[in-house]
Amino acid sequence: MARLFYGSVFGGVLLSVLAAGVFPLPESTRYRSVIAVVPDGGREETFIIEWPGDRVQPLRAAGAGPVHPAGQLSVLQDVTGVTAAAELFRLRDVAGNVVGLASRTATAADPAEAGRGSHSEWMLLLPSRGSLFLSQADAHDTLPRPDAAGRIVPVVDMPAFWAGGERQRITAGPADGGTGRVGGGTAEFAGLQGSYDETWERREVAANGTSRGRITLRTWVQAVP
Amino acid sequence: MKALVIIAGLVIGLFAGTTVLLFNPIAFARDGAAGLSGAIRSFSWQGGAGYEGLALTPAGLLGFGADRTFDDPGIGDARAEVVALGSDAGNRPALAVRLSALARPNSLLQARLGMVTAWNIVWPGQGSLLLAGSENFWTPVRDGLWSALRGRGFQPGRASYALPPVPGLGANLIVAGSGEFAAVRGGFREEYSPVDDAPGDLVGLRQLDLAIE
Repeated sequence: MARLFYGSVFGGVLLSVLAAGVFPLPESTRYRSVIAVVPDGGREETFIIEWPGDRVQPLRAAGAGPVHPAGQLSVLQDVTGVTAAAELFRLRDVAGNVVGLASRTATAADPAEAGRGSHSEWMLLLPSRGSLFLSQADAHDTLPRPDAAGRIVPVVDMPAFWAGGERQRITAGPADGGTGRVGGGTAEFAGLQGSYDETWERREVAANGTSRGRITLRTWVQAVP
Repeated sequence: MKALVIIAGLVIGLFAGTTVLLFNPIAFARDGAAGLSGAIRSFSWQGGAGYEGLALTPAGLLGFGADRTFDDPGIGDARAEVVALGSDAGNRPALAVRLSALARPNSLLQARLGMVTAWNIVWPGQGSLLLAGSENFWTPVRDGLWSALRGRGFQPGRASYALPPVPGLGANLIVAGSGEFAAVRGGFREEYSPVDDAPGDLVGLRQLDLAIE
């Protein structure tokens, strides 16, 4: 009887270890990466964001201390106005699959990038692949401003922003050729550096002045020697 | 009688096996906070004040229930937060975005139950930092589950938990910076302090220690 008892105890220990080994911990779905190989080295990958559908607003109405929601934006404000803004989005590949999350922060121009618009940074988190970090000098000021009614609105909903056309290149440096800089990454993007280009394309304007359009991020990266 | 002995043995064995897994010696070996070098600036925030996506709870980490708000399968285990970082030194507040997702090498056998994290912190008029790392919640989850097994509910016992990087994912590092932080190097670590009014929640009070070399 004692042998049966100790055998059962051992069986129980074994069962718990096996259960822990095969327990299906959650993992995000991985889509096939749509990557093109660049002839002179490196690889090109394009990411898409459709606004306003892909926007994400994590903040509740009360906000978080001095950071508060303004529509779908999160802004840090002082007496001079909005000093920094964050926009969060679902991130898509060129096939339209949601492959990750993206955040875009904008602030006043970096003195080293004088003469241009705002300074902005992108964080792309693809749960199945890793993170990619981008920064650039903007060709325009992309910080949100109050409209005539005093509401803070994203620049994509400001008619004046589109005076130059329905398609705007946002990137104005600081990398070669006026491209933005890919500063690094993690996991599958670890050890990669390169450049990127951001364009906004407005496709529709609603009667209330809000717009619909697409942000395209084209990245070119290669391994750091 | 035989059946009773087998059932009693299995129950004791399952309890013993679970205890061994929870108190996995691998976890104790990795329990310390990540070492940092350079001047350290500490920032605190109230976790969970503004997030979308995966809820940071034991059920969320283990994949039970519906503790997630993103329906897209590619980001079902991801989380987006916007926080205001206040400095202990009383500096101007920073706007910070924190994106995270369940770490892919999570393993119950190897005491790995964590998230990969990416930070973008903006100090208007000063500059910004981009950080990449991970945080292993094994120790607070273990302590909370042990407390629950003893009938006290999910109550991690310590006042504060340093969250070490998930093994295999490397150190928590500053990836890039701009303005005053252009070309800086360094690392960071995060801490979690449980709060009584949110039992079962792994957000609580959070602290970010940033070391700039």
